[in-house]
Amino acid sequence: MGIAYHQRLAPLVAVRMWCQVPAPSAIDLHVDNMMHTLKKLFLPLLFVGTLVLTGCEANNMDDETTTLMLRLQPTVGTQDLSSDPATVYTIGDQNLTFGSARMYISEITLLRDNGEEVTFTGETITVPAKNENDETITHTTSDLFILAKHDAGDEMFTLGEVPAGVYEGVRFKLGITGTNNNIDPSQVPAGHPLAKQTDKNNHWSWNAGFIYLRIDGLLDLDGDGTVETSDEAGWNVHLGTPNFAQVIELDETFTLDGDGMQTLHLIADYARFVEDVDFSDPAQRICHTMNNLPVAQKVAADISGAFMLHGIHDGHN
Amino acid sequence: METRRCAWLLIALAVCIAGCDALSASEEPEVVQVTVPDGFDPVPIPAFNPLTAAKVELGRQLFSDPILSRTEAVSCASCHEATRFFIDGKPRSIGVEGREGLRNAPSLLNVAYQRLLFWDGGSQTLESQVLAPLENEAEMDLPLDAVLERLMNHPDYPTRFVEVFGEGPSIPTLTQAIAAFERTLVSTGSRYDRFQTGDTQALTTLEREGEALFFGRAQCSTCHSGFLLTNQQFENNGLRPTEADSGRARITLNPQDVGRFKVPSLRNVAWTAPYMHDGRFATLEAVVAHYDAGGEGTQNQHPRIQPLHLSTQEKDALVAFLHTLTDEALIP
Ligand code: HEC
Ligand code: HEC
Repeated sequence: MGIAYHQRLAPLVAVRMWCQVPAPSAIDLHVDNMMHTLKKLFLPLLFVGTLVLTGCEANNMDDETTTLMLRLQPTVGTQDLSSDPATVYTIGDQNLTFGSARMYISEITLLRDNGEEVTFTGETITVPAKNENDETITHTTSDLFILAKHDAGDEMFTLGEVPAGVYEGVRFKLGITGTNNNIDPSQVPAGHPLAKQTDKNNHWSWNAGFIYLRIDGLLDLDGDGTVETSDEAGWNVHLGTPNFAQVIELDETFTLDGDGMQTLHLIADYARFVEDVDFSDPAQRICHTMNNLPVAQKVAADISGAFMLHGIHDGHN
Repeated sequence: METRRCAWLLIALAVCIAGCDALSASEEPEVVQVTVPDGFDPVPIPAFNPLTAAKVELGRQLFSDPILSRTEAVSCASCHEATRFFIDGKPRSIGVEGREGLRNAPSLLNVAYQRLLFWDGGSQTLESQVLAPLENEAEMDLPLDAVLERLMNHPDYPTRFVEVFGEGPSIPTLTQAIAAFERTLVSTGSRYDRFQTGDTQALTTLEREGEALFFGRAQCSTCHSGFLLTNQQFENNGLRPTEADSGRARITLNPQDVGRFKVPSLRNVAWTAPYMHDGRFATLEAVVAHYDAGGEGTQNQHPRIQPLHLSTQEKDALVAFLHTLTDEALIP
């Protein structure tokens, strides 16, 4: 059984569910003027929500929930990841730097000890997408996507409300599959993770699909401990297309105590992504998935081993 | 100059603005209808990007504005010239700083009907396509954050965008404006259309002989069919492949798609030389000679591409027929 929570309305919806108060009904979403709709919707919802919240506190002490955050900490082996061009890492025998370090995570699911699965929802978007016959369709999704821009630092993400209790693991996908991968990112509102990013490309305009893993940088070709800036010294792995999306399951028991906010702390070790790529071979330096399937396959095979569940922390750090 | 030409073009393209007297009191924008004659499918306009006169005009201006390129010297119109049937006439396009791209620029006339864009079908919608040349190093080479910054710092664009979209320049609004303009680039008239709708005098005897060959023994219409003279499939017409460009296989990775390219529309083809995805043929005579020879016997060549054993007169007839597909209203 899946429990889905809408991120923004999560506290209201979740609590309403536990209290079994009927949902506010007959809200007409098909009003032309969006602002009008929002205003019309927001006040009653706020009102109902407040009532429900006060009502619940007294009655339902057992059904506690936690606001769960995600920290997806990027490392390179035992070091923190930095995209500073002066920070040279040694992976195998290769010295290199990271310029880009970004990934898409979707379908995050917590596995409860009672067999239930808890999934999360994000902002709802209704956008054009292509179906399997290449026809443009209107697609609505409330799925939660995370675009971790690790080259810009170690970010925190909001997952949503989850029931307190014992969990046996977490499962997620590196990548985006199904119709969601065929969304037209140029029409996704800025701020949503699937929106076309304006700083570094997150989507191949020459092919439907998001870039699931975008890592690149420079190599130290002469072995003197500093990287070269020539064209030959560039390396990159831009991995995409549904075949290469990877499901990662980290089976580790943890408890969410239902007391305010907690953080699920995962580690992504970027060294693992490239540990089997031999950058001394010029043919392995550039991989945009389609142009270099052998490298794409190597990287994809190493993805699930690159993630670790570090633990659960209270609060948001 | 370019601006004025474009304006007439829009009018010539039979874009009619629906009356909106009833709505004038409210703030509903005028909706533009693109009308096409019988025999043409209605122009597909996605519900999320309705055409309004102000939006089309904004898109037209953006399409011709070189500030969207890094060097401020290249606009969409540099490679898709309104006065040249929206091509650049070069075998392969030249972008910023004289950089040569991989492929020949197709005409954008009737592009609204294209199911997939680019010679390999690698672009999915007219909206998202806009971003490809902006970012492409061999075309306009300007990162998208710089594109948006330039638009937001422009003296006019921010207010124009707000008037059209109720919000300023953004990736969705920029792409919608240009795509809306492109959907109005419809070319429907030609002597061949007049012939088909009953004007038996519209084609000469030679041209009619060419038509018969095209739809008959030469089997061109296996692939060049329908009102655009394309089945919109990816086919291999027997061109010697180049290592740089595997065609549809770039997208599908399927070895059977190596050397397959989107079948181009043949409307206005007499004005869109040079031909093929890399502009390898300078004339229609060379194209017909290629088909007459039965292609070059390449891997994945379509079985219908076979030696045709055409006489000189038959080759002339085919070329003459291709000339009847020109929309004469667009000849500069
Ligand atoms: C440097 C020349 C150049 C510039 C500048 C340029 N294009 Fe193009 N355009 C091309 C070429 C070449 C192709 C074919 C590319 C391919 O198939 O891979 C093309 C293809 C297209 C297509 C697809 C047509 C079809 O039938 O598949 C559209 C639409 C288009 N361009 C619109 C634009 C817009 C909008 C801009 C400005 C934002 C623009 N182009 C700027 C050269 C250019
Ligand atoms: C098997 C399908 C097929 C058949 C049959 C076929 N074509 Fe084509 N045609 C294509 C494809 C595919 C292209 C584009 C190929 C490329 O650029 O690699 C093309 C390109 C052309 C072009 C160039 C258009 C442009 O804008 O560059 C012309 C002209 C043309 N064909 C005319 C003909 C004629 C005349 C015949 C009959 C003698 C014919 N074709 C038969 C598939 C076909």
